[in-house]
Amino acid sequence: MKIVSITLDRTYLLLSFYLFLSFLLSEQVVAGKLLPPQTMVSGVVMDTGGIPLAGVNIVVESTQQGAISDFDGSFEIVAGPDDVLFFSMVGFKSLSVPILGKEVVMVQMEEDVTVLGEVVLNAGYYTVSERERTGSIEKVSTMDIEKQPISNPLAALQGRMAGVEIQQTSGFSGSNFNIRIRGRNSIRSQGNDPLYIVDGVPFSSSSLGDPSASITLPGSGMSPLNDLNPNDIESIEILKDADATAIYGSRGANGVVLITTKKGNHGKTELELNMLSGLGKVSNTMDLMGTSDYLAMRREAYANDGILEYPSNAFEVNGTWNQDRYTDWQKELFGRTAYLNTVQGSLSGGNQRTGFLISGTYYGQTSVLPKDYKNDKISGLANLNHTSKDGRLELQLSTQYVSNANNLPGDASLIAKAYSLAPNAPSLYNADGSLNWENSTWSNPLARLERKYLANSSTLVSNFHWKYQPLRFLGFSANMGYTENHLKEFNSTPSTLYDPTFGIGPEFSIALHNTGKSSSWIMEPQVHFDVDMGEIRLSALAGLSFQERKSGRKALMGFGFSNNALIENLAAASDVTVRTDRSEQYRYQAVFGRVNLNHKGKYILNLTGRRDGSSRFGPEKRFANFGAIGTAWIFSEEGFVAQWVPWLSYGKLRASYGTSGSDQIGDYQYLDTYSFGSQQYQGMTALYPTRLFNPDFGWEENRKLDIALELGFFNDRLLLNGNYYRNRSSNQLVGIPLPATTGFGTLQGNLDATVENRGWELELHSINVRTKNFEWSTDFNLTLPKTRLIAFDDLEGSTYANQLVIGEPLNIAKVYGFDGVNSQTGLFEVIDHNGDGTITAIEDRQTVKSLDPEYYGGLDNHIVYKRFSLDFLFQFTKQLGYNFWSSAPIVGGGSNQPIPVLDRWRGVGDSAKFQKFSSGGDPEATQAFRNFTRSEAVIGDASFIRLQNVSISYRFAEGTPKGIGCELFLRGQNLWTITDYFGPDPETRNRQTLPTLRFLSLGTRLTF
Amino acid sequence: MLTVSLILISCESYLDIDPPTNQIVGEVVFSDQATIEAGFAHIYSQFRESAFPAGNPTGMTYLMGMYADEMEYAATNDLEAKSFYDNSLLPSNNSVQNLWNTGYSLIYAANRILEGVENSPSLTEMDKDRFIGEALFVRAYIHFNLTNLFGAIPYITTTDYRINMKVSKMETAIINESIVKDLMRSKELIGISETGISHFRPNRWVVSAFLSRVYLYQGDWQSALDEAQNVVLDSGSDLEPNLDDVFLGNSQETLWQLDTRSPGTNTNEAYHFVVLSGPPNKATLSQSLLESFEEGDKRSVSWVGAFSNESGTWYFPNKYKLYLVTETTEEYSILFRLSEQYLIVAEASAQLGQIDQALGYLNEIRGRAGLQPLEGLEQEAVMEAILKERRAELFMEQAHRFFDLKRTGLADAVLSSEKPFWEETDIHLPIPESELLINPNLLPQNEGY
Repeated sequence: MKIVSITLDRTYLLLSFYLFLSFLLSEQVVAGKLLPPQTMVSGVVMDTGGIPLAGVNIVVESTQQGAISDFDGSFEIVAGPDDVLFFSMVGFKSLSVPILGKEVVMVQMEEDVTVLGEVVLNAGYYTVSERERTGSIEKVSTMDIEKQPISNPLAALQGRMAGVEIQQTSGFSGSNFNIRIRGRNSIRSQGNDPLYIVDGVPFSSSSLGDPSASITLPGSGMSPLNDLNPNDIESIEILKDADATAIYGSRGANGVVLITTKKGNHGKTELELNMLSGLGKVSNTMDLMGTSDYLAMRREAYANDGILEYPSNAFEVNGTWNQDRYTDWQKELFGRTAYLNTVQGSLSGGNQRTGFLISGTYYGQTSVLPKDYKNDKISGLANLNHTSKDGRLELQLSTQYVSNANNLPGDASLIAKAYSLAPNAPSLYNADGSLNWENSTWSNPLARLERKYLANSSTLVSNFHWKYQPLRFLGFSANMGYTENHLKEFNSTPSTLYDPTFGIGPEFSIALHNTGKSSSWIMEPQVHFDVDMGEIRLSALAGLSFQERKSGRKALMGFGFSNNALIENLAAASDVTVRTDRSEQYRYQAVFGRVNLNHKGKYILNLTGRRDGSSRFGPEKRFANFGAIGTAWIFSEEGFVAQWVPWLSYGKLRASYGTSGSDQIGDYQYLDTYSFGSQQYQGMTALYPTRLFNPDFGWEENRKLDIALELGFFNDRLLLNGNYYRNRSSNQLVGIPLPATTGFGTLQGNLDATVENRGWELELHSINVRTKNFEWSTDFNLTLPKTRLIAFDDLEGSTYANQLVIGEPLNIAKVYGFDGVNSQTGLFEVIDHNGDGTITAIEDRQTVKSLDPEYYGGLDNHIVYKRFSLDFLFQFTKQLGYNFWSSAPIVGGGSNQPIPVLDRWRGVGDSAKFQKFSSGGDPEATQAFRNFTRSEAVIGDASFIRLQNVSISYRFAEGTPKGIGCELFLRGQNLWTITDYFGPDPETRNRQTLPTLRFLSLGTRLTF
Repeated sequence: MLTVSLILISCESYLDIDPPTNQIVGEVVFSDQATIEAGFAHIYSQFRESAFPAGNPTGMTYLMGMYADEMEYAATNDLEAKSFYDNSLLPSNNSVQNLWNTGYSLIYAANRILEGVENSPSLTEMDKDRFIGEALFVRAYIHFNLTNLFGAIPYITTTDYRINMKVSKMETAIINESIVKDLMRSKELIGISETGISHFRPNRWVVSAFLSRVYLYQGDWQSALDEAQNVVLDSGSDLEPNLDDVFLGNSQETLWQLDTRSPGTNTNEAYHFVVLSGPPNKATLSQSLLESFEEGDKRSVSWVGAFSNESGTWYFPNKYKLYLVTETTEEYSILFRLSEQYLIVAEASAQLGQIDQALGYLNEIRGRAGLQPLEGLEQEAVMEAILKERRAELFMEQAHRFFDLKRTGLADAVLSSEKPFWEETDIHLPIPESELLINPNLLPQNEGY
């Protein structure tokens, strides 16, 4: 009995032990087999061209063990012989490779053809993939920027982005680019700038220049945007709709331009050298009359006016000047060749966790004017990024510094003279090389170049960004930035500008010095929240923003020097007055947030909002709220779509609606103040009333609606986007024009008016051909914008009654209707609109012409054949604009004219295009001509198609991983224009300034 | 979220920034006498540089000299000046617009001073009175000249833009009434003394002198006579015996002159009118003016300059002679001088039938100019002689010639033979087109435009 129970106990023990163990081993039992021995598997990942790929993510599918490929493509990972390795990387097709018992696995990854794939867009405070974005965002990357030999980054965007209109204002280096993102929202012409952000730091685009110093440049003076180096830019994103801009709150109404600089490589240390040299010339000259035609015109003009004896001051025709001379003034005054040189060197490298980039660039450009003008720009960039070992802490530091020296003539009057000087005007120089004043009968145009304009500016943008991710779903980050911008300008009007016989000596010379500085800092702490809840992925962020900007400038004018050699030194002036001494402070704070819900990658909802406060508004109206909702439905992921329409590889429908605001109204505008003027009386400085007081004005509000359909065909080889937008801007912040009887020209106030911008944007990306050796892809964009004033309370009684029309765009001209030349009188006739017998501006300037483009866009082609690549970009627009006649002097007066004027009226019964020549001595003819220059005849077709950029390059050697890489390229900018426009340049539409230049340059890129 | 809102509330004061360093809040300006003086400095310096009294080509001395029969256009391409010379002004003309705009902008400045001073808590009564008097004078002075240029205009007495942007033109009679009212009050308040003896600021005598001019233009002969005589006899100013001394800075004849922009600079008139090369590139004195001088009139030598070279000889106004910078300023632009008062007494007396008195004052002026005294003339002949004397004495000064022709109704008769393009409606300048476009209440435009 005892023996039996012991045996039974042992059995129970063994049984229970066996059962217990079986649970442990059950996993293996259920799986079918025990885990085989794990070994270190190694290998190399390459692309289809044999180039090793660094940074590829490798995961063992069964154990989820991970590794990253090194800079030479090699990796090591622990896995079993039957395991499958999963390889993935941005821009490449993910790949599963079974180990199949091997110890070394060699893998080739194919580039992902889709543009969308995992392309990531910078949306400012967050990034979003092209595929999943709910907002309207455009992007241009360094690949396209570097192909253009330009100085201002905005030039790289022309013709590339739907909804973005960019216009170069003149051919002078340093001139502004006007940018309109989805049209003009504000009635005030200065309230339409977008918000610029460089590496997360707001970058002010308002000029520190003095308007009298930089009069050579049309528009608002030296723009700080000239102080950015396009070669250092990785990408430029433009945010257009409410979903993308609402998170910028009160400053996003006109769109947001995000500029991101290049970051360090995480790979082998690499040195890259880029060198470029080019030539430039004016893109177009006008066909003006020669001497015999001109003199005949003048004689006929005096005859028509009944003036028998030529006035003593009609030198070209009364015999004082030689009547056999001829000079092509356009060639003489701006026909030279400009030279362009760029040298850039950059050093980048790093390992998996740390990367750096240091780059320096020199850009130099000379002028087409007959004097040694030069624009020199030196810039440096240093970027450093680091990730901690556990991947939780990320740091990024970027700094860029640009120094820009621009030397231009003191005023642009030379250009207008080139078009109007009589062809037989005297020679510029005397035999001994001095300026020829021809016995004081003319004002030598080269003397205008005695006026100097020197501008030295420098800009520093620095940014520090850190991110700490303590938990998988929670992260903290902060963005801190500082920028500083300095400008020093000098403009002189020396007495050598005048004819020496007047005896105007240096005691009349004037020098203007302007120094401006602005500095701003920003701090934006944020918290991020990312949770993957199975079917729904939630991303949220919340942040605070604090910004302060201090700016100031001083402008001093010196008058009267003992010697013109001392003109740059204010201490040598006999009289110094202070024109301006101002300083401004601007403070801004906000709280903002975003919640993004993504269901299975098919249904996406994005909510953003911001509450802003700005010091620019009176105490009653300091804060306001903005928000937006954006949604997207990627219907190509739906089962039924994949079934029915298999060739549709991608389809997304998205919509957004929200509000944003505008505060571009300058500082302190609500205060009632007096300012110091520049004049003195009895030893006192004049004190004058600055403005009319209005403490109650508020934000301009902009509501944006956006709907888009995005489609991809044939595995995303053909992508089509169609986007409809409608923005309404109300409560307009305006400088309301006032009659002079109020003592001022304007008042700052809110106008009960609404401006609507709506339109269509179409984009097409197509990879036409893709074979081993040949690739051709095309990008096309087209925008059909419409701006309208849709509401304006009591427009007829307001001060805009004669400037704006409800239902018409803002950018209109109200001009006389033109009736051609009266065959009886030979004079131009404009239409008497109200039939009252007289021509008056108010009653008869009723013909409305819109100067907004009807449509615009670009076509970009990219062709690669083995080692050659060819890119060419066409930009086109259809629009009306002021032509060469709009500021023309009277035909027959002492100014040269274009050849078409030869079709003029000569006698009763003649039908001609131009009125009879008149020297200005016939008031009726003068009045008729004046009316002509204010009629629809001076607004003509300014449409054009322009070959904006051509880039041909040849890669001699590949470079990495070993050896020297070498690429040779030929690049051209603004090479060819097709247009019917009558004037020097359909883009500038301005005969008072230099037309845009065309450049052709040759360069090389070496990588070591 | 709680922490966020806490942070936000505590930082609301973050948006309160300091006032700008280059501007002063209105309240502060009017609590201190020195800043108010600076406000006047603005008005007078603008008179000198950009408004209608300026001696440069933006001012009416030059423009109306061209417009009437005092100057001849000599430039080649200055279409602005030519349109004045040809009496073919368009409402879009920039100089016309400038005359209007600067005028009203300074009227605003004066009105602002009036309102600020009246409400100021910390000025002395004496200072208040002086400032109010001076501001009223300025307001009346600008309106007077604007109405003589443009005809019916609005009379602005407030700074409230909501009223001023819808204002309409007023009848000349009402404007004159308002001017006289302002001047009467100004005379009471403005006081006799002023800063220094350099006559840079208007004082009671200037107000009287101006009043006499206003009364003369209105045809109120007795009042004109009283005021002018008052100035002649009691102001302490006297005629300068030597013509070359009349326009110097220390002339005892000056009642009000404008200080220059800096020590050593002289008048804008000299800088712009003196001809230094031939043919001249701006303007010259007209033939008719040169011929109107009587034989032996020393003014045609002292106050008229000539420039000759092999191409010809050209004449220009030379009352102000210094066009270069000198060690100290020696000439200032004179807006009111005693000679005009003499001529006002003469004219008013003649109108009232007091021929002897009229001739007495007239002959003083003639005598100084080296001319024989006139005697035994009838009233009409005396009137003619006085008008002729005004031309010879006051030529190229503050549009006196044009205003004289206008107020005596002789403009058409004299100018239609001189100026080929003169029309009756040219008697008024056009109201600027831009003004009419913004304020339709200013319609209708002056006749003929």
